[in-house]
Amino acid sequence: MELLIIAGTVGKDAVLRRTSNGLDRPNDAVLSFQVAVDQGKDKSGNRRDAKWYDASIWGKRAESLQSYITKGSKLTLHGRPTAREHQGKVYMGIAVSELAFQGGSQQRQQDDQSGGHQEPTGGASYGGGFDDEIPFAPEWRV
Amino acid sequence: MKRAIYSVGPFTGLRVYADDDMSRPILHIDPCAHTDLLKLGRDAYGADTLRLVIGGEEYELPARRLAEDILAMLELVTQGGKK
Repeated sequence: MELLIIAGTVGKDAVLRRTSNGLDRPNDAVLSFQVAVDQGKDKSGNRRDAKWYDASIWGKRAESLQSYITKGSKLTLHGRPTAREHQGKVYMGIAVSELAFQGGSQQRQQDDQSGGHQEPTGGASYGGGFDDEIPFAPEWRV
Repeated sequence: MKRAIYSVGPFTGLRVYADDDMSRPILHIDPCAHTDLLKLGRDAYGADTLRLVIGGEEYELPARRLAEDILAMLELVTQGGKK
């Protein structure tokens, strides 16, 4: 079994859909959204492109969380890694089993936007290293 | 005023960390404490900022966003983690 844990920023408001009746999970709710994960900086100090993941939450939780997972939400997701291929490109995804919400002080967010953000020095990963410039959908999703 | 960040989830509850020391939370409310979390979420919902005074230090958090995240987490807790 594989477990993927990512922390990132939601690119667009989550979309709730339902499966059709003929599938294994008929009329099941599925909440879909994209998460941008900050990749930090390279050796020369240039910021690397964020890595995007397609996230999905199934069942009752999908219906409950629809209004809460919006553009700019900062989340930590646990789940099973998935992948799909489209026109020769592979897109990574995660079937979410657990999630937690993150946030921070206004001052921190303002610093992030002005480029003054520094990575936390502690051992915990929650909430650190987000880039507020990230939550825009990449071109291929528009 | 010191900066703080938070994490809130159905298994971890609410944890608030000082921005400059994430080795341990400065505040932890267990997810079983539904009533406390609900009250905090409701109180914070109408405010702009939430100020915490812990250990002689004052910390600031975005109240509305925190309230929304707490209420979202409580949705998950009250469902017992059902998928």
